[in-house]
Amino acid sequence: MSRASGGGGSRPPGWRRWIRVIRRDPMEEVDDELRYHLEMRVEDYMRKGMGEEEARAAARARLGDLREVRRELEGLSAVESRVERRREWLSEARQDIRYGIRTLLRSPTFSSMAILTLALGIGATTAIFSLVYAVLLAPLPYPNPDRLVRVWETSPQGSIRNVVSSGNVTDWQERARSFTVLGAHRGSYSQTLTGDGDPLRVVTMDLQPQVMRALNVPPALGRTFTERDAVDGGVAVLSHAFWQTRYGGDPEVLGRRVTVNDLPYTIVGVMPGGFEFPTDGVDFWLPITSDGFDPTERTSHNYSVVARLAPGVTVEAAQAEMTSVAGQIAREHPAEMTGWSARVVPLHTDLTRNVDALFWVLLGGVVVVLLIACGNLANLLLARAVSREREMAVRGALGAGRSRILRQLLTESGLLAVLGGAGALALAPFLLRVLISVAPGSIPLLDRAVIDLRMLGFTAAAGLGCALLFGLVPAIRASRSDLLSALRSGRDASVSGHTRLRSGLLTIQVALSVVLLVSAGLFVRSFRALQGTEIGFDPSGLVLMDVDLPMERYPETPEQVSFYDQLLHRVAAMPGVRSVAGTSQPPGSPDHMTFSFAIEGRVPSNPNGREDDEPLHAVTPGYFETLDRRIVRGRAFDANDLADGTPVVIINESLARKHWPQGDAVGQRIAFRVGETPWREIVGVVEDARLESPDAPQEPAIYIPFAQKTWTWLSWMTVMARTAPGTHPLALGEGLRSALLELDPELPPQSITTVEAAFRANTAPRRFAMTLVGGFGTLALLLSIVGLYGLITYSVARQRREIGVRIALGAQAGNVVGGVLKHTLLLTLAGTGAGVLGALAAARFLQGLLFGVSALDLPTYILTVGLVATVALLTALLPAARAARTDPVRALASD
Amino acid sequence: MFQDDRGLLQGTLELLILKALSWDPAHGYGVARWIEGATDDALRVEEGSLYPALHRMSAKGWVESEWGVSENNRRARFYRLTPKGRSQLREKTRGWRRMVETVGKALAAPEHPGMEEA
Repeated sequence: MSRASGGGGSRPPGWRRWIRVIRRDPMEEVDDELRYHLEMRVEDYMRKGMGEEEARAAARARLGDLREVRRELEGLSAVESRVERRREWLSEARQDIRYGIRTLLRSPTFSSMAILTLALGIGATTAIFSLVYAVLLAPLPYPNPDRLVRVWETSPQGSIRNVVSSGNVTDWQERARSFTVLGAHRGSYSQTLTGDGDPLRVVTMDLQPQVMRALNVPPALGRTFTERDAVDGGVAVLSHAFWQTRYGGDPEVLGRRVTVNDLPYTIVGVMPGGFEFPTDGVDFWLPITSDGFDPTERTSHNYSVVARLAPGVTVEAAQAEMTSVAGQIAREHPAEMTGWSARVVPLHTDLTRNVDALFWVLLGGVVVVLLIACGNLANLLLARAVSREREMAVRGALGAGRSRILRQLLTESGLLAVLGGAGALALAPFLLRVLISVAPGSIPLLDRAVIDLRMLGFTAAAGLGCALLFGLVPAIRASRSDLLSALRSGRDASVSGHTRLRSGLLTIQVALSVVLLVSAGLFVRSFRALQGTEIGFDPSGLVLMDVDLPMERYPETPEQVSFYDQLLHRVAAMPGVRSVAGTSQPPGSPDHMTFSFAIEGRVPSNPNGREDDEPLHAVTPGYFETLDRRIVRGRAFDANDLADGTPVVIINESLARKHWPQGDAVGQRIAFRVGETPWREIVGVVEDARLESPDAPQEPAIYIPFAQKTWTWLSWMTVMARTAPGTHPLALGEGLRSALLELDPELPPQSITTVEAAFRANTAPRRFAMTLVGGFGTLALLLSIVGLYGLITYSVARQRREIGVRIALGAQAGNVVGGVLKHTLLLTLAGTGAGVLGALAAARFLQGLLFGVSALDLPTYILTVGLVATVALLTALLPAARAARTDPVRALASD
Repeated sequence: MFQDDRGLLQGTLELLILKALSWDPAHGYGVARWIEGATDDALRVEEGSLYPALHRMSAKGWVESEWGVSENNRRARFYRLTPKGRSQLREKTRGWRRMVETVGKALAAPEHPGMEEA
């Protein structure tokens, strides 16, 4: 039987052309379907000769229980319509994407510029975010790192991050209940490893076993320190990196004996890779033993403290307890501890305290650039939306709903964002590498920054955000367009509305640019201020070499002095050396050795019978001359200031002002330990110098001759050689090293640095901030100019007819140009005004990052506004001039 | 014939529908007429059950439906076989043949001697 003879199944004409326009209630459709079936069956039966009533009854019977069938179909249609909707949505999405790709391909310049802009913007944002994440957001690599805190002393002089005395550490450990464990450690320093191959400089850190317990990271090999080690000492724990490089990852390394600064240690453990404390670069951790840790010492502040909060204890609760514990201690030891307290701060916060603000400012800056870029894209899409208004109106008339049109337009911007995001992903790792390579080495945790899945998520979110930002405004605008007027006129109807919207967008862009440019200007002025700072000495051509004599072989001051004497003589004789001197405190380094002292014949200002602690430098004769520092009163040290000579001291102007404001310091006497040391006579006052860094605060300082030091443990010295003009500072390196080895072949090779390099490193964060924020500001300005040029060119083109009419009616070229410039000027004024307000709001985030300039620096604001206004008007001039040359006949004839 | 046995009916009905749609798209009534003609009306399919079957098959992606205009210029829902439905048809036809063969062979075997006693 052939199928064609069956009554109901012949091919429906135009099957594919039938598009269902509106969605109906599925049950209505089911009923339609069943009714159709019944009617067809009735007709069929009647054709076979039944009466209508009979045919109807027969058809019903043949169909079965109609109610049952309906119920069954009701359940099914719910499932079905879901499937149907999904399929429809997918097919529409496919359509939109195909259409979107075609649209993008039709204007390849626009598309590639848009994608490139987005790729750069999102890529840079991702790269900076990955830095922020690595440094500020990602947890520290210890178990439950948010429970780790630092506890500092706060001093009566206002230091809120003062290192702690061993007496206080001991009392805190006994009294504080807020911590499961609290331990002290020293700063890391460089020592000599011998007795196991060639002598080698290693970085070691002394810590109490409690520190390792607080950190709670299990060793990769062997063990960490126990309470026993704090008594016996003589054991060492290795870093993973040192284990790998020095011992090739040998598992038999446990039990090996090494000598550090002539003291024997047995290796008992290796920490896992990635373990760092306090930051990377430590090779050996050594236990602090009780004989080197005086539980009654209150005036010598030497230790950093790390602690783990007890379960359920908040930082605030711990702070409250420590404040009360510190209060008790101050009451028990009023002489030493009056005015001192304690401060509890999360370890992570403490570690990143110097870069916290900088990184948030950088992230803010790059996001603002991205916003401006999105603004440009929105503007371009808006312009395009106008030219496509007719297309949209026609599609609307053909039954495409507003949401459908909206979706299609969003698909287009979504495509741009996806492509831009893909480009960003390709760019981000590269940008991140560049950022890390130019970032100052002093930023902690930076090496953790990677572009990983998390960053991928961030990129995707940024891309989506962008697509919504620059896609939604034009899309809503376009889908709302008035059908009739668009079809009737084809243009002009909503042009003024568009221009208003675009002008609004551009105003925001200009405002954001002003915020960035003001910030950039402030950073540049900071840096200029830094370079212009009077530092009080000449850092150029100064070469530094650290020497550390092991106490075991040079236990007494005379031996140390004689060693350094010989060394300095040898260096002075080297060609290319103009002068040489030694100091315990190298320029460019932040380490301070501070001492309190008493002034002869004065009532001490502090209850402990002393004056405030001040930085002390032990230096050789020639120190002031080598640094080019000016003695303002009295004399410098000379070769006669020896151990058996009159004890002398030189102070800087800050200290002289502080204690002898009348200028009568020279001839006065001070002592570091009352009763133990003879009084030291002040023989000179030296001009202040910023030795650590140009942006370091100017502090008082005391200088003594190295030969007159009374502390044998002060066995280190930094040799400073001033090179003669024409000699490269680092060319001296080999000569300096061999001079050292000729005197003592067991001393390891030293690293040679220059003061200028140290200064560069110290000011690197400022240069980093200035470069990046300056770059952001420049980009912002460029993007805004491009946007402005586009807008003005566009609006001039749109008003061509109107301008033509005005010219035909006798308007002067000047009037036309004036009209365009007025528009620009208004826009610029609004933008810069809002920008200045924004910059003022941002100022409080910036102030902490600036040097020598206020965040409200008027010249910066005036210059920025002037620059933006000038550039805006110049940008507008070209299209304005073109408008003035409009030929009225041609303008009116066209369109 | 199959009216008491929904499970068997269901599979068979679906197979017949697939076959009915294998030539051209058709509306439900067309499918009913085809089954009626092709089986000489021997099955007496309860036509109401056609529609749930069609909708189930649509949910399973064997058929697609769209509203169109029928040969007498009335709105009707047309069903069409998807590629998935086409491969179902092949598979189910094979399965049916195998079953008929197997059951036939079983019925042709001699009766079990102990049957009467059981």
